[in-house]
Amino acid sequence: MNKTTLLYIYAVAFFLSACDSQPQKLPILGNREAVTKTVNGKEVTDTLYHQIPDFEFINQDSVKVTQKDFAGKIYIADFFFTTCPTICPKMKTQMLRIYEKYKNNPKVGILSHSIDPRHDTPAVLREFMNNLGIKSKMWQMVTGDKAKIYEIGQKSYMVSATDDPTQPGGIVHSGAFILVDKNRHIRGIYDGTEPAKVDRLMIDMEILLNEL
Amino acid sequence: MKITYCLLLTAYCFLLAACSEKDIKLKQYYIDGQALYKLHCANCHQENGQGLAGLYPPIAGSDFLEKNKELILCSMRNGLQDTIVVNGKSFHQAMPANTQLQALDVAEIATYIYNEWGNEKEITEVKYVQKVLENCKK
Repeated sequence: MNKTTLLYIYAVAFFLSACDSQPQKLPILGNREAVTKTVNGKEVTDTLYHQIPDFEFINQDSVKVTQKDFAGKIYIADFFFTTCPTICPKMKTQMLRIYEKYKNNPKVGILSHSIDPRHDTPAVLREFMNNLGIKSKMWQMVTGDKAKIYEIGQKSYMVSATDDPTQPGGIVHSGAFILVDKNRHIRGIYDGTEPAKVDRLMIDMEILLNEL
Repeated sequence: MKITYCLLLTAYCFLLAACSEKDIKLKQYYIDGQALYKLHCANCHQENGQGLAGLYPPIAGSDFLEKNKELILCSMRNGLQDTIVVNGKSFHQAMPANTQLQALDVAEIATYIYNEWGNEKEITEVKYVQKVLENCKK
């Protein structure tokens, strides 16, 4: 074996070990903007990340829920409706796994938005939650102005939801679970109907909890 | 003597063929029924038939199966709006209709769930299902 080969092996080994020791980090998803500001007479360029804006919805107890209720927490957002016959039951089955694991963790929240607010009144959501066996406040189900919910879903959480009378239930939407960090940045989007993807989400939640 | 023996043998052969034909048909219904169940029912009732908490009732180990077969067959196609009591617990989340299901589909699903989670060891016949579906309460 000549010297070059040996050096090469050392180099590769070194790089590999470097990779290993690096703490895992989740990306920040969404468009980013460069903002140039003048600080102390100097031009400074900063990156502005995609962020969930302020919001205000009504929960299962007819209480206002805003971004403040999730301050200092990581949370998972999703979009559903109680009478949805297709993917929602699958999503709720998976969300229950997350709930069971984190229901007593004050640093984790779940925010489920109804995309059929006309039917899903707070009372309907309350009953739905009781039937699911949700007792902890960490899982909030919210309803509100339909246009606002669709808008925050599409523009901020980057998921789709549209009315489609040809579909069972009349609404098509994605089964995504969106992982949001304490700074309201989206750190991952997962298919909430697939157990394996939700396993991944729970691993990523641990990574994110370590950032807190 | 020889003729009797021959006749007996023929009869036996017939029986055997009939038997296995029936078995094969049952297996066919069961397997097709399982696939249909996964497609149309398992979202809510789960693949293992356990249901989901207080929202969707269980099928496996459910006392509702035996006494309500006709209602169950009708509900597969027409949905169910009424509150039902399963194993002493009441459930009132509406079950959606699946009007695209044909009598054969319903028969196959019923064969699957009643063999898997009921005490049946036989096919739910299409003719029977057709008759039941014609007389569903609207």
